[in-house]
Amino acid sequence: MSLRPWSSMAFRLALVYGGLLLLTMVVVLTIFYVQMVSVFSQRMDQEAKMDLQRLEQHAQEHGEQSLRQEIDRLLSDGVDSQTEIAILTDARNNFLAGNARILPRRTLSTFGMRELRLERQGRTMTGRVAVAQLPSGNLLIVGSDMDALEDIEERFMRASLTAVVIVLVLAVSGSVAFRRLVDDRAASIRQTMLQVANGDLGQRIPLAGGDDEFTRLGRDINRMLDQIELLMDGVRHVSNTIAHNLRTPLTRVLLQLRSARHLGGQEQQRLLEHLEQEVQGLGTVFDKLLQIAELESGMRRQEFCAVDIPGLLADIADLYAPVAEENGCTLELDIEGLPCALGDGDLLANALANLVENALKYACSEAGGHVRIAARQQGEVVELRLQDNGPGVPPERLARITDRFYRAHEHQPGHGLGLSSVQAIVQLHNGSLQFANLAPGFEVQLRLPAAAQRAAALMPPASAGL
Amino acid sequence: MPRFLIIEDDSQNARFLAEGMRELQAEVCVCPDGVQGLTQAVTGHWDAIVLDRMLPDGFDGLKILQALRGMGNTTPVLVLSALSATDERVRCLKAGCDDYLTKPFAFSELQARLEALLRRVQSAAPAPVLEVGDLRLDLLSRHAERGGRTLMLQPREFRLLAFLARHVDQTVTRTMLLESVWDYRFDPQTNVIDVHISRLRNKVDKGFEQPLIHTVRGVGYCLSTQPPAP
Repeated sequence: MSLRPWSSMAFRLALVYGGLLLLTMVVVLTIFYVQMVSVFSQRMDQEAKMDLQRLEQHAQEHGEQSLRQEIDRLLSDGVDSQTEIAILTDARNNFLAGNARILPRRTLSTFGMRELRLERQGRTMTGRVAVAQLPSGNLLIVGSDMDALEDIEERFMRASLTAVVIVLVLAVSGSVAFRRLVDDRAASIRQTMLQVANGDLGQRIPLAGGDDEFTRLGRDINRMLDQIELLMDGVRHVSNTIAHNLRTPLTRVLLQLRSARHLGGQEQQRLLEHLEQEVQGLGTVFDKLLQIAELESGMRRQEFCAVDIPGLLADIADLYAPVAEENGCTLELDIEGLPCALGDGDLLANALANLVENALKYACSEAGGHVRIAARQQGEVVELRLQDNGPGVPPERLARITDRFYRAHEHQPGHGLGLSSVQAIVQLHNGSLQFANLAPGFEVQLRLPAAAQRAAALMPPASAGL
Repeated sequence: MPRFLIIEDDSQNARFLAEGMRELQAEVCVCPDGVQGLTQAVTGHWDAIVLDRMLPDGFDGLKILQALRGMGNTTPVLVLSALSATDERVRCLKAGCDDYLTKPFAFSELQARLEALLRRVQSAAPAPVLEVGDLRLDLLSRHAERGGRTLMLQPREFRLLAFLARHVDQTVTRTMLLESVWDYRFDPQTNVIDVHISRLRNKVDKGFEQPLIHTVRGVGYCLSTQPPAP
């Protein structure tokens, strides 16, 4: 855990949340306070006015002498005697009757509701009073002391302050606790990532039960690590096979070059020609591997456009018909409708040429070979089927025939990269590739996403080369 | 005598290329870097420029090509590149190169492509009728005859023969044929082009004393009244 708590997001969030809670509380308490005090003081004002009115009336009806008695009676009736105030003074503020004296002694000039400093039973306090001048010029002052209100105010303030302090403490300690909790959960993820970064790809984040954010994050990261490990294994496998498949022929070339030194004339010439072919073959393998890598990186998708499948198949058939015929093999096209796939014409032609070459190679190994290419559109998918009546592929080898350098029929010439590149091309097109043994024969099923609309104009005409 | 400019930083490669071209009676100049190469390309008069895609000092083939075309120079340029990615090829063609060859390549392939480039410049307006010896091709009516006898050719066979006739006395490779006649760019695994040629040969040369379609071993084919030098 770092020393600065502010750097933790959990801490900041919890603290900000605590702050918001505190603010809400202060606002609520303030509204409550204002409402309460104003109601309380209004009632005090009302009572003071009513008492004043009554006493004024009393003075009118019974004279001031009776008023003094009435004041004494009011003060001694035991009701509100702690707080109520009633004073009669002359115009110069000389005390005549009542239970308090005005401080300091002065002439009052404002009447009606007001606050006044008073002294009662030797204690100074503030009173909320109504002041009226009697016809005789004497002043009648009635009200109550504000101690009760001040007392309530004080209690309210104290309680509020306590609540605020409690909330503050809870917010801060909660933030620290949250921070520690989140830190602990993140720490296990971070530690695993650190180990992975140091090269230990087998490490996984330990997953607690439940389905909270961290567990889900951990699960996603683990899935990503699985994928990375798989890819790394693939890369290792590929580099091993590449090393083997390029080093072996390179060694052969070197050895043959060495022996070529001792050969004479025509034999040397023949060996050199053979070597040239061998090196060219190496170049081909290299090109194919690079092409597969390029396809797998998915870079070429930007140039996709609508590809006219019937046209493409016609071109392929046109290209391979003589080869088929030469081998006593028939090549048949069976196209339903005008399917149009979204893709790269050159690449699709390459993939189909590969498949046709394979089919011809195996179908023609026996007399009466037959290769059939069927194409049709089914909804959003263009489906292509290539069938031959050759020997098929042993079932235990089916799963591996798209592996790089894997050759199901070792006696046939080839590099074992054809179907790998077909697979890469199909994957680039977001399509699928499936193989099945027929009895007798072999079937390749190729499914490609259909282009939204037929756009034959997008395909360059086949005669562009002339 | 054709004059070629080679801009290539690998001195051994450049030397072999130059030697090969001199054997073909061409005048050759080699520049090992981009700045020198561009200066030479602009100041000299060349029939074609062989340009390496990747040159040192950040002044690479693509920039030279763009600079050259920016100045309105239209000398045919063939780019050699170790980058085989398709978008790379497209980028170079868009920048104005006339052909593109991926390393490693056989010298014969380079030679055939350079010859094709030269021919393209010479015959900007294609003649409607091509004649090679007693073979006569009418490109408009798509009629082919030899020694007054009509040849029954399939449309694709006619196109193949026409391509060969355009490059008369000149070797064309199998890749060039697939690219130009079928308009696809990929390497077929089998000898599919050879089969097409042998059928064409059956129709064009069979029954005639002098063969016109010749195989150039290890390279490709050549349409000529003379057998090619070994």
